[in-house]
Amino acid sequence: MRQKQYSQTLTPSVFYILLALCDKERHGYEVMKQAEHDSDGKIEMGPGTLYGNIKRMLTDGLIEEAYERPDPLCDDERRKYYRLTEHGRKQLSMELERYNNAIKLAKRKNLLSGMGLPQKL
Amino acid sequence: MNKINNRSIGVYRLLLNFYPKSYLKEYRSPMGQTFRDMLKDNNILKVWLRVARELPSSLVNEHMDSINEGKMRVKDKKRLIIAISISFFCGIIGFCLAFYIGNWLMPVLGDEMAMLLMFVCVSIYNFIICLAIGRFYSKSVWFTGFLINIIVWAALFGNLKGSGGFVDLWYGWLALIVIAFTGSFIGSIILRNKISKVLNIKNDENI
Repeated sequence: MRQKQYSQTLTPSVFYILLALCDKERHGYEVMKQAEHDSDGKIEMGPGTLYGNIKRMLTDGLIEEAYERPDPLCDDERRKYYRLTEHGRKQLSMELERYNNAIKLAKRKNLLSGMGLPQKL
Repeated sequence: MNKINNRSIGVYRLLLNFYPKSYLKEYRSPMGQTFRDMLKDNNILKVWLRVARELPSSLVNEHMDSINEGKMRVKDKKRLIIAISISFFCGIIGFCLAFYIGNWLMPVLGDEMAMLLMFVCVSIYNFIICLAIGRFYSKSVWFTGFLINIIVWAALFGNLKGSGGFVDLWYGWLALIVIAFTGSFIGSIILRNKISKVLNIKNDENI
């Protein structure tokens, strides 16, 4: 499996899928709902976008399929569960670090005072 | 689950056929299950709006991915080069024909009738070329159909421009481009699947 190094930022969908999977294994629909919840409804994926992203993330080694099911008795076997790989966790940390740096910079420049950007004189 | 939801699932399953086969092999079942889950939790209209919004871009992405993967797997590059060369050659012939026949037909039949007739001609031409090229390189069936349709439709629209009809309005042009693009895309995929079935062409994975 090739492990792609992301030198640029992750796309919003990929970022929120990684976030959704960082605490537990989830199946597609759960990932979709969690991503929507975490992004305050800004990331609205359909099955096509979701599984397209999942396919590329699997190829890039960011996530992997989890074959053991959380509750095999009350679960549909058609569902596929996914979990974060070490590589995926690392990429997510790098992305969060980038956001963190951006926020620090914004604070230093006083851009987060709640009044929006300073007016040009 | 009610009748409308069951019908929705049926329609969605049909739409899934437009995705590449290699993709469907892996994701048809989970996608269907996710759609079913969405219907359980949401209003049917909301679900379909979301699907309609994402379907075109998702289809294009997956087909582009499928083409790129196919190219990487190709062992016989010579056949690919021949197939693409023939596609371009046929596209140019199609362009000339559409231009010439369009010019000849429009004063005789009127713009709309000429366009309808040209659409039929383009479809037949496209089908024959796809059939011929698909015999020796299956991936090119999709590629050829798509390319020829775009080139010939572009020639046809170019011909109609200046006729004083709705094609001269910017939104008329936009509508025609969207129709041509979508039609070519869907038509080419259907053609590819049908021809593959009829001629029992091996998938690129086996080449």
